[in-house]
Amino acid sequence: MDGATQLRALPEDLALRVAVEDFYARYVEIANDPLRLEDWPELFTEDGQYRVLPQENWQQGWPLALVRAESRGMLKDRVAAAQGINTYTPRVMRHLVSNIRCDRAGSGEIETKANFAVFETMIDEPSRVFATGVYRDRLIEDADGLLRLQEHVVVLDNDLVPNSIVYPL
Amino acid sequence: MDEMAPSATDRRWSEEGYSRVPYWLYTDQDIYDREQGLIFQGPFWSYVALSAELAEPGDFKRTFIGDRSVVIVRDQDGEIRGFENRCAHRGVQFCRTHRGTAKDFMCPYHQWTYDLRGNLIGVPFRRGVKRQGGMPADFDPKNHGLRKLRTAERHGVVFASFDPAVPPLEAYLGEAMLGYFDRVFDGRKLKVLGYQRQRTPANWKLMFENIKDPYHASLLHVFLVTFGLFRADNESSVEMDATGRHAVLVSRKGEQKKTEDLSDMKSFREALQLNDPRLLDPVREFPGTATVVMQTLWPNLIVQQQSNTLAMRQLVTRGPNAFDLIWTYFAYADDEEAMVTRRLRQANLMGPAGYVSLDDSEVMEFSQVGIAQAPQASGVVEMGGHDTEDTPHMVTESAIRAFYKYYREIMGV
Repeated sequence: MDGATQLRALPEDLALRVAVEDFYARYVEIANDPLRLEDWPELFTEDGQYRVLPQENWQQGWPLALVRAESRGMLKDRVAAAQGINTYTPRVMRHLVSNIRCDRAGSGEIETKANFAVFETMIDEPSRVFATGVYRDRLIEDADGLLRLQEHVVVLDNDLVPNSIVYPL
Repeated sequence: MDEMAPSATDRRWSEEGYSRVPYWLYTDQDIYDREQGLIFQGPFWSYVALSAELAEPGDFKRTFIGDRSVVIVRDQDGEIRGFENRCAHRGVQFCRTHRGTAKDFMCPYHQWTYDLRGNLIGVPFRRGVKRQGGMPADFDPKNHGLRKLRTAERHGVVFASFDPAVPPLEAYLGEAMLGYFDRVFDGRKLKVLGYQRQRTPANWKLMFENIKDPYHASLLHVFLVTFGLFRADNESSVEMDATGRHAVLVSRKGEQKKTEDLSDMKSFREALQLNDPRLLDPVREFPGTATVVMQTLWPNLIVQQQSNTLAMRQLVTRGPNAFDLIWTYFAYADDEEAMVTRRLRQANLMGPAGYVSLDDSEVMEFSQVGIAQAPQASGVVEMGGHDTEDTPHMVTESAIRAFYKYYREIMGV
């Protein structure tokens, strides 16, 4: 059965999985901490791609994203937006990432797929589910030996966004 | 009767007229219900689709007029039809997908079936089973079709109305608005790039007002002001149709530089630079000098042309305290790939995560919660005077006043 769990394949697979899980733990720590937001673009390669897609655009293959960045520079511009360009209600975001799958692709890339849930908490309101969905990412081992996102594609389960996307997903 | 609900006598409009907007307009359920009847089901054209979404016979789209779900479909003869998404039998909302292709529509509950024009063509057990039961002999399927809509199409944009008395679309838009409409919809084939949908916890009129309010744009939006995309010292105008229900905000991009008028624009950041300037790489593509035209078409459409990002913003009401905005981004079918990429990049300005639009959706929520505190108070809409005329500048709220002047006529408030 292709892709089924095999005990004898564990040692090498385990190292990869530990590294990838550690990467996502760090990703979430940074994405959820407004004081560390400037570190967020560093989790991507220089030409890293970031797209947040509603379910329908993903399903239909439409290219329009809710957020589209094609470089670390564009990610830095997104950070600047959250840090003073845009006006918004202060909020606390909380990501949970689980069901992480990773595979080595031929070109040295690591393809990953993970489920995520993001909660949002604002003044006067209890926490609510902001979005759920799937990360469909490509990681690479960068020149300095660190894992970085070559591509972070956030496919939402929802089409309808609860008002605003301020912070990274 | 609920003593806390404002009674009809409490709902008085200030004597200052339409340069005041009473706050109960944004929170009152009774007003909302009357808007559904008088405006969204009234003799007006609501935007429902781009014909590019309905390319082939049988292609359909599920959408909304006000808060009513409707289905828009291209029939076997290639005509665009529309009907309410509500089975004539027991009221089931039978269509539960955004889009698809169908030969007919069957309600899942008792399998009443309708053709693509909304006519009832099938009722199971109509003649009974083993000569028992069945519909009465005088049951005539012709009297039990879906509630049909009028539809009209111009240059690839489809509108619909519940009211058979709706005037022709061109007359409804009026000459001036038609000119701006045709500027973007010039007959070229369109191509859908995708959708964005958001729910904003604010009354639908605040969204419409926002795009009739050039005053805020130079103040709230750091991004617009800093990069000169839409700013009070740019060459601009506000124009309306004869009724005041439709409007355009027109402007021409300026430079990122200081001028004496900037002292009031605290949002200007001289030092702000994009780390990746590919985001803002606009090219001129329309005749004339305007680089942004935002058009509000009563009662549910905003046509967005900001630089090279093009979108239909469709308002869907969700009770007095919320609305959905459905953004359909499009390109021209003959666009080169670089132009499509440019449009997709500039889409970062708009939508739920937009460098510009995010400010609006957040501030509208601030408005709604503030307004809800004091239904008997009123907003002040006096920038640019008390009148409703067109202006060759954007330091005015005249289009909001014109909107409410017309709104009061229709609503009788």
